[in-house]
Amino acid sequence: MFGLTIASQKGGVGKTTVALNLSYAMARRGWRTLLVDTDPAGAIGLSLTKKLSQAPGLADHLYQHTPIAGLIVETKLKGLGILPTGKIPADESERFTNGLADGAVLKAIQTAAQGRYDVVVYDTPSGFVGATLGAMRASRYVVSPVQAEPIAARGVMRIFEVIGALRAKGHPVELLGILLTMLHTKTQSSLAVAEDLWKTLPGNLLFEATVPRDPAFLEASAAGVPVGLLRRRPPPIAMVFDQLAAELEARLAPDAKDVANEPIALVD
Amino acid sequence: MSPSLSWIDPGELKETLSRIGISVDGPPAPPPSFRPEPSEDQPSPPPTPNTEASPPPPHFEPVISVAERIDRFARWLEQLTHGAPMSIADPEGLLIEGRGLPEPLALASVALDRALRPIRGLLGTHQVGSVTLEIDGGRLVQTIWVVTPIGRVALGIMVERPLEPGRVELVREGLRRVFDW
Ligand SMILES: Nc1ncnc2c1ncn2[C@@H]1O[C@H](COP(=O)(O)OP(=O)(O)OP(=O)(O)O)[C@@H](O)[C@H]1O
Ligand SMILES: [Mg+2]
Repeated sequence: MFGLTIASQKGGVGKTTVALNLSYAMARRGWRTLLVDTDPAGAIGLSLTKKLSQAPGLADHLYQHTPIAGLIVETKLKGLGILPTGKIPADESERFTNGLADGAVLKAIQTAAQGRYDVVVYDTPSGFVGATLGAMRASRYVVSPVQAEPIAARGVMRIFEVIGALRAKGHPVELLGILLTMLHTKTQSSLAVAEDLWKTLPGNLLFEATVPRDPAFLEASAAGVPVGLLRRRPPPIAMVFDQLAAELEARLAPDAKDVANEPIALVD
Repeated sequence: MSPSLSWIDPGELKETLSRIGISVDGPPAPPPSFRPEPSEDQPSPPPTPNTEASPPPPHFEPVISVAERIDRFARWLEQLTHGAPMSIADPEGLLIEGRGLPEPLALASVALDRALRPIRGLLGTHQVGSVTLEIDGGRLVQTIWVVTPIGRVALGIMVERPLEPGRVELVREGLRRVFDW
């Protein structure tokens, strides 16, 4: 069991999209995956269904101590569960993320999910504050999406600094990789940013998989599904997340990989 | 070299990574330059206009044969692609180098170039730069063209996944340098 945080300094770079589609791809590869929404805006719920966006969740655990197990929403894909944010009054966002900042509550989710899940993926609000830092403190690994556009790329160094600061305080968190998102190869500046990062960053810090800018993501969010479930024959873009999941798996430390090597029951 | 869009300073990056204990495989090395070997350490020193110090003494480049250039390029490419089989064809479509790529596939990459002529005409451009052909069993042959001083040269490589645009550009730059003397 390990925690995996999807985090970035900048907003709107595709964190939630990556968290959802990567979780789906990992679950399909046999990792029992629990996707936890730590964004007070409830981004995962908003990406899926109205019902999920109104369901009780993390907030209920934080404030009312509702046990985690009862808050997890099982999906139709076996092995993929979601812990939604829960209802948070608009003026409570700060209190909510501050309540998660030390990582204790988010770490406890892993303990509660032990045996049922192999990975806990945390989607986070943008910026290295509150819930995002909490998720990183509770995680062994971080994946940081960077939008393939100049301003996002200029903030890349920030993730290294944050990880360094956390490690200096004794949190053994590792950067699994930076993931280029919304790459638009037909736009010169987007491609130029990608090339710049390919040339500048060490290969082991940048995923080979990149997420192209693609209208399928808009369609998928309108339909409330991961891109892999958009239709019977998913758009080719869905394969990017299979590739990412495979690459991610290859980057895990051997002991993290072991967890999923237990037999997976075909029938209960 | 175009200025860095990400504003990442390689020195600062290196320092930061070592400070926080992130080990580094190193970026894909830039294609070999056939200019004199850089003195060390700095992978590819940016061409900083040196206003203060006196200009360095003229350096007569060692003459490196084309065969040697191709060999260096091939070894560099091997690292970049983790040993993908490859071939290089000259503007006449004759194979000038082949490493591991079965001949029919190498010739196919040449035939593709020919076949693309009308398409280039239709598009009104010579810039159709690469094509990926799926063979079987998930094998892909990616053909990358580059206009060099001796004409269009085609590189065929067999890969499981197409190289990303950034790597294609690096490969192109490397291939261009082979024939640029
Ligand atoms: N690869 C892509 N191609 C096209 N649109 C995308 C892509 N990825 C994400 N989007 C769209 O961009 C918007 C922002 O994406 P997303 O919500 O995943 O970003 P985020 O980083 O989670 O944002 P926030 O910082 O607000 O949490 C969404 O409307 C999403 O559908
Ligand atoms: Mg989000």
